[in-house]
Amino acid sequence: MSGDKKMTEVEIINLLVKKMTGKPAKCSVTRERRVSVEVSAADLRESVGALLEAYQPRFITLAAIDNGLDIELMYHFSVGGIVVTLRTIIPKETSQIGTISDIVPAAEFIEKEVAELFGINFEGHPRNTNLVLPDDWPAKEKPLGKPLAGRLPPQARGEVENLLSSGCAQIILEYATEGREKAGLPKLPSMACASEESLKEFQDLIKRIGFDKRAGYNWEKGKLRYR
Amino acid sequence: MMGKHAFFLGCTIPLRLTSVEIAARRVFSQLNVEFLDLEGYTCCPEPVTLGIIDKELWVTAAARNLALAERAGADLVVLCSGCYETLIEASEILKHEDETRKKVNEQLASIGSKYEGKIKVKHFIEFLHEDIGLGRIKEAVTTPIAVNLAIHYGCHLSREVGGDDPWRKPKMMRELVEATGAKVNDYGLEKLCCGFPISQFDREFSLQQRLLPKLRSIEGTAAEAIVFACPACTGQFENGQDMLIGSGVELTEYPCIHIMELLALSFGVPPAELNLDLHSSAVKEFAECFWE
Repeated sequence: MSGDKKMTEVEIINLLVKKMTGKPAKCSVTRERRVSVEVSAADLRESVGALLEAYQPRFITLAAIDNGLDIELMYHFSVGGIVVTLRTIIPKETSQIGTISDIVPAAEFIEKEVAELFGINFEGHPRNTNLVLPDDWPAKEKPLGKPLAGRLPPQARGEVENLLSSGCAQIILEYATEGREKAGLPKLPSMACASEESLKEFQDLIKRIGFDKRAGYNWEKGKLRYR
Repeated sequence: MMGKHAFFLGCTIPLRLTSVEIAARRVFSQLNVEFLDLEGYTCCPEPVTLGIIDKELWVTAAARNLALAERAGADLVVLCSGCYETLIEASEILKHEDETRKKVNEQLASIGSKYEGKIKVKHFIEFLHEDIGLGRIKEAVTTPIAVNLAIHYGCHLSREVGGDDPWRKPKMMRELVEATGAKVNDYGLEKLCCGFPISQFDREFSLQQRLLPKLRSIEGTAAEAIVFACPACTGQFENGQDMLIGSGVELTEYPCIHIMELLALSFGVPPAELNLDLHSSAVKEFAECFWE
């Protein structure tokens, strides 16, 4: 009867996609009786609501992984024996997401446990006191939390910041541009850093291949998130 | 008849060693070779660190640069040895690895670009030697540089595709240096890396185990200066000499001159027109010395 089950897994995905038009970033049947749905942190509550309304699932647990730059949260539900995992990623700089304990009361304890061990603020959670850690545990110490860190070695960080912000691996120093002008050359070479259009084109390419995310680059600050 | 050519200057030459760009423009102008400036290019990207930490970034950004030249209908003449390594290797990958080329072109399509592998990538040393020829270069020499020099070829200059002799381009460089009237002094450690790549991880090792043995060997010759084809190697020698001397090592401090600067001087370009004061070693003084 695996064909019927497969249909049911696909039905679950179809329903979530239908109820949340365009919002689940990626849905897949990872193996028999396992469904994975990626949602943004802002859409998590709506996804849980859609699942509750359609299937009245059993909440299994919440798991967290600290991947250095972000924390991945996986909310596992059982829908008639099929495990549906809603996955979302929150940046460690904010480490914040809304609680679902008001619509899934069974999540109250595990949210609290994850909050204490990883330092996440589940906004709106009803319990303020510690659950798994001693009451006098230092607030800043998170037993399973790692420092904010990306994959680039320290030696490459400056070069990557220069490359992504200007298309040039070197910092553009005033003495160099002045020296060029003095020698009768254009202030900047004909690189992308001299043309807004070319620089945007290059930066769009970087975003498209996902290097900015892999490297942990913050476009607004023009810096790596861990520098 | 020579086709269209575009300069690939890289980042370091136009923004750190402008004297090399100035010299190259003067040399090619005197040889009546016209070059396009590649509009909107980016860092090649650098092969040693970026090429290792993210292959997709490296090959895609390199492909965008190659596509700019292809769109302009020009072969690339690369002025920086590190950029040459990236661009020649990326062009070979894109020529021979169908899956990679397909994937890269899908990404390039998003910015309205495409690379078909129609252009040639040449190191400026092989362009000077093969396309211009030693004869024309010798004819252009009006101020022979009659001095003893040592050559640091640099590892990237040995990069060959298709299993060719890794000493093909270094031999060309030697002949070009000799064409200026200089005498090349062998020192036995030409094949040793200058230590620049490892300096990013272990500065002391790069100075003591790479640069210092080379400098000691050169001290055993009559060389008065060292010639380079790579801006990163030039920087490693110039900064490294200062650091070694600063740490108490007794050492001859050599002027570190780029071959393009040497050619420009031999073609009669006055040192004052080359911005040689951008060097931290005594290149300017060295050039003025034999110019008089």
